[in-house]
Parts: sequence; C-alpha cells; structure tokens
Amino acid sequence: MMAGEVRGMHLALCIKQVPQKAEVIAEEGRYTLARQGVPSQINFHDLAALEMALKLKRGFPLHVTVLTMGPPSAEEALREALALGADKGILITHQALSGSDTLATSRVLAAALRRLRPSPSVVLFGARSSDSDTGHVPPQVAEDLHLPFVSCATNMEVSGQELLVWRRFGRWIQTLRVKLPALVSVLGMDFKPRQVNIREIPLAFEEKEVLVWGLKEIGLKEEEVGLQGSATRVRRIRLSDEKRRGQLFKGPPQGAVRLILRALEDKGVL
Amino acid sequence: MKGEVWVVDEGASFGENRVALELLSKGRELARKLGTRCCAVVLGCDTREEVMELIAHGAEMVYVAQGPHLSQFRPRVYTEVVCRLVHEFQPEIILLGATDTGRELAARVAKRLETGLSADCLDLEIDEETGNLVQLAPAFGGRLLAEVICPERRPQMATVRPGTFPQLPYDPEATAPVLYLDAVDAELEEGWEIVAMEVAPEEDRELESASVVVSAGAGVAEGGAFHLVVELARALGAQLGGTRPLVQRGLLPQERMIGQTGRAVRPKVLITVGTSGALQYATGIRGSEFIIAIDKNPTAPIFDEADLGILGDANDILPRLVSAISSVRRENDLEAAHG
Amino acid sequence: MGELKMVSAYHNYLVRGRLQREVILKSLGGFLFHAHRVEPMERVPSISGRFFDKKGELVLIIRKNELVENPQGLALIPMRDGWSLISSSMEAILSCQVLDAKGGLITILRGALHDERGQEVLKGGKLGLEFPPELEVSELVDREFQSREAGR
Repeated sequence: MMAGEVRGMHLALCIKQVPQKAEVIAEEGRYTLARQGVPSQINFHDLAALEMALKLKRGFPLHVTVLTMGPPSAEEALREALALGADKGILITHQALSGSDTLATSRVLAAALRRLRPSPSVVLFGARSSDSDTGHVPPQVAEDLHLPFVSCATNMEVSGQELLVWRRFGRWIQTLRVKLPALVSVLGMDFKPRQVNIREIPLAFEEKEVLVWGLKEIGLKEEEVGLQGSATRVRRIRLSDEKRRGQLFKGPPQGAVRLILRALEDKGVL
Repeated sequence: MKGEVWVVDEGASFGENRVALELLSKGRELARKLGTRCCAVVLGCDTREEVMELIAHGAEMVYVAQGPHLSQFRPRVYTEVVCRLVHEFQPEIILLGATDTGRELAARVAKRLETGLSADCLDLEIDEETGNLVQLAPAFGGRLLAEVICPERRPQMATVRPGTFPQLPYDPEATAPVLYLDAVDAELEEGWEIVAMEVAPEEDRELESASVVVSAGAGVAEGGAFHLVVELARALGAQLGGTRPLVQRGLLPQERMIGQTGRAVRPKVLITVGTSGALQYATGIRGSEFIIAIDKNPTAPIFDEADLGILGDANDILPRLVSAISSVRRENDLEAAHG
Repeated sequence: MGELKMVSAYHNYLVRGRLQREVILKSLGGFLFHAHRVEPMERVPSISGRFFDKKGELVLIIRKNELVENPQGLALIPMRDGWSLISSSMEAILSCQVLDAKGGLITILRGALHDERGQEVLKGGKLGLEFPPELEVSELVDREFQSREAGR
C-alpha cells in the first residue's frame, strides 16, 4: 500500500490541523466546523510530537509518516510537517468523514494505521488539541489496535526493542519502559516549535509524497464513519454567555488601588 | 439496578483533587430527574476512607472493586473491571473526573463499549422530552458551547474538570449499601512497566485550589514588570500563574500555566495583569468568583471577562497596590494582637 | 458477584478489609456478639453480647459496654482511642481502636471470642474482624438487590 522504501524503524504520527479562526455553519441540524478558506495550523502538542520524532530520527534510521484526517485542505498541514522533516504524508479524506466524533475518528485512524507497511513500531499523537479538545482519540486508537498506550510523554528514547518514556501523569513524573509496537501521546512542555526551513519547502512539495486515502483504501464503510459512525452528535451550538463586563476604571493609579483594595476587602481577602 | 447514574472514582479523582465528590452533587441531580439513584464506583487497594466520604457526600450506593492488583492505575485492568460492571448493571450515565487517569479510563471504556464520550463538560442536564443527557462542552477553545447528546448508545459518558461542580455538604447521617465485588481475575499486561516515579512539584495543586490567584501575561513580561507581579502575589499570599508566553520565556514553569490546555483556576479573587484575554486563557479563569483585570489596552478582550477592569500600566499601579496591601496587613495584624 | 454491606458515612467497623456499620453474630447455642452502630454524636463504639471462654464456660454478658454478668472478673478499660476488655490475668480479650478517617471514624476490633463449645468464633486483627459468615445476622440492606440475587 505504500510506495517507496522505509529505512530503519517506522514511526507514524497522527496530526490534527486546527483552524485559527473558525466559522460554524449550521447545515440542517449538523453543526460541524466549516473549514473552508481558513488558515490552518498544526496543533501545538502534535508539533511537540513531531519534534520528538525528529529527535529520535537524529539517532538512527527512522522513517516518519505523518497522517491526518480532514478535508482536502488538511494537506497543507501535512506539507508543513514534511517541510519540518517528516518523510511521507497520508491524507485521509472523504465526504462521509465529516461529523466524526472521537469514536468514529479513532476507528478511521486505526484503520489507516493498520494499512501501513511496514507496520509502525511507534505511533505518536499530540496529547490534546486546542480545538474541541478531548485527548480521547489516542487512547481510543490504542484500544482499537490493542497497542500498549502511554499518555502525556514529555521525552522518549529508543532502547533496543523498547521505548523509554518520561511522562507527566497526574501528580507523578514517571519513567516507563514500553514494549514495541506502542502508541504514545505527547505533551508539549517547555517546548518551542521549530521554524520551517525555507529551503525545505520545495522539497516538501516536490520530492516528498502525500498519499490520499479514502474509505476504500482504509477498508471502512460509510456507516462506520462520520455522523453515522458516531455515538455523539452536537445538537446545538451556542455562544458562551460568560461576559462579565464590570466597571472599567480609567482614572489615576491611586484611584485604581483604592477600588482594588475595596474589592479585596469585600471578598474577605484582606 | 439498571439505568443508574454512576460516578467513577479511579483513585486520582479522589486523592488528588476530589472531583469524584464534586460529581456526586451533579450526579444526584441527574438521578432525581431520571427517577434513579446516583452511585459511586471505586477502584483501588484500600478504599475505606474513600467509600465513607463518597457516601457522606451523596453516593446512594457504592460498587467497590478492591485489591492489590488495583493499587495503581493499570489502564487495561481498570477498563476491564469497569466494562464488566457496566455489562452487569447497565448504568444510564457514567461521569468521570477529567484527570489524567479519568480521561484515559473514560476513553478506553467508551471505546470498548462503543458508546459516546464528551470531555471537560461545563454542565450536564436531562432533556425533559427525550430523557437524554445533554452535555455542555467547550468548543473552539471555549468561545462556543456545544450541546452534545448521545441519543442511542448507552451508557452516556462524560468527563468533567475539577472545580466545575460544588460538593454537597458533608452529611454524617448518610448511609448507603456497598457492594464489594469479587475479584476480577484479569491478568492483563499493559505492555509497559514503571521503572521510576517521583511526585511532581506541589505547585500545580496549589494553583487549582488557591483562593487568591495573581496571573501575569505577555504584557507584563514585555514591560519588565514581572517582579512586581511576584511581589503582589507575595503580599496577598496568593498563588502565581500566567499565560503560555511566560512559560515559553522561562518565567514560569509549565505547571503554572493557566488556560484551555493548562490549569483551570477557581479562586475567590483573581488579579490578572497584562493578559490580553485570548480565548485559550479565558477558559482557564472563568471559574473565578471575582476577576480584577489590569491592562494598558482599552480594547483588550480581558475586560469582557473582568468584574473590575483597571485601565493602566502595571508599572504604575502594582507598586502602589503592593504597599497599600502591606499597610492594611500591618493594621490587621496590630488589631489582631490587641483585639 | 460480590458481598453487600450497609456502610455509614460517620462510623464503620472493619470486617475482613471491608466496612460495615454494624456487626451482629449469633449462634444457636447462645453466643451473641453485637457491635452497635455509632451515631454522629458518639465517638466510642459499644458492644453487647454473651461470650464464653476456651472451655465453653460463660465469661461475660455485656450490654452496650455495661458488664451485666461478669463471673470471671473482666474489666472494660478505656484507652486513648477506644477501650480494652481485660481478663483478670491481664489478657486483652477484646479491644477496639477507633481511627480517624477524613471526617468519619473506622473501628478496628482486635482479640478473640469463643462460643458455648469453646470454639474460637471471632478473631480481630489488622484487616478487622474475621468470623464464620454463617453466624452473621445481616441487615436487609437492599431489597431489590436481594431479590435480584435470589432470582439468579
């Protein structure tokens, strides 16, 4: 299913493009994101995951495949990942996929990951996304694929047939030894995203490949994906009505201090 | 009993931030509407104190899976235990705290049961007509609220962040039946083992449970006023938090980052300085009782989130504020000494 | 599926690592042990019962910590966090330790009691009480649950 050679270990990274500003459009009772004409951006934690993959790549032969599920415009996010250093991209796209909740999304991504040849030894996700964040997709994909799963990784190293993972879990900082193949979600902590090297951009578009997979390629039916394949749906969206808009004081600092002190006293802080 | 409302306590939701106790209050409300009861599900090794506290805070029944094999969060075992319980007792609704363990457990259980799960719900209600659970979840980084329903599959599952719901008051008169479950002989390998473990710095828990928080944003870092903010926090005995730019500059550790992908704070008073009010940040502070915002920019969105907005320069206001607070504190101390 | 117990928010006894608010044991031949519910105003558990020694002879009739019939001269000594039932040979027949449990109380009973045949029927240790389950008279805690279990 995959053209081209994979040298060394195969790592698959699932990313999600996050629209910077989004319009929500009602489509006869289906409230989903309208992503057209919106500049996309790779989700912060996915970038951290990519960074971790690229760091591993410096140590030994590692082929990094980046996958994303989305509309055709999501190819931009893949090209960005390729320009940053990934080797191959796979865009999973189909009309029927829209409206997928995490159950359906995890089914789709698991199906796609199953189709990869060679089978990846490591599958990475960003731990959370900033848009309709649930953080649920990675563990659900792991359940689907029956892979060992470690969440919130902050660092990792390959050690023979195993992965050494450092992570932040609840109030613990843990070090784990993980059997491969495994799925890991990455938490971007104290992480500065690297900039795309201008020289890498033509490479990303001309030499590196992005495959486009639809339902047929991943072996799923329409009933299993999208709104049909989801257990939840959004019945309505409303604006957050959390606007306080109290008094806005524009006077001199002394007056400001007096007001603040009074508020603090009222609230029993002072 | 079929059709119950369950609150799952997987250990972290009790020990760390007590979110299981908070969920019971909402769980009971939902259970009343459905004409059923709200039960707690406890997994752990020594569950005595938890069981009693859950009952004291509203659990009308408790299912306990206890044993040494459950002393640590082992996702596959915990998932297996919960799924078997679900098959046996068929609850209508399951609520979990949005802790690291809660999220993972909820996701795995929902996947195994092929049912729906919504995350970080801000509120939950029962639809009068359909009896469905309506889950109010943040969307688009918090600007929008989505009403999510799981119309066909059961149970309906939701995670809720700590601090979203209140706890019911402690009721020493409460009594409830507790079903101690026979051990599940699940010899399930996780595929990993923990080789080292240490407790993370106290700081994050302090922030989420603090009653006064002072928070700084990029405006403060750029203006060189960060040390003033630190002084303010010290003068008030407040916890210090901030936005992502401050973390990226190394002024604050990741644990003190407030926002959608960071901490959510629920203090009595929050003083937010030089934080323009980006959505990501705003979601982290909306649980505050009273918000005071100080910013130079009159059109900063943060003023939409504030109960008291102060337009001004932190460099002018903070030193005066700190000294005023210190004198009030001195007066209070004198009064207390002589009173 | 499991063992059903009635548990109180305020105070429970530890029995085989599990909580229950009251313990009532009865044998056909006269042995009785009743660890009473402890109400929110109280701090110290009281017990009632009819205990025998290793030879099967009556050792004590006690009613809510009052020594009603005491042929062998036992004494109920209050301790810092409970009490101890001491024999004339300074042996602790039964003692209770009340632990604070985040707003509630848990009592751990230690010691050994015998029935009219001289058999040891109640033993207390770290995990709480142990006794033959047939002796227990349990509350009908959840009628629905009971009938469900019966219907299996």
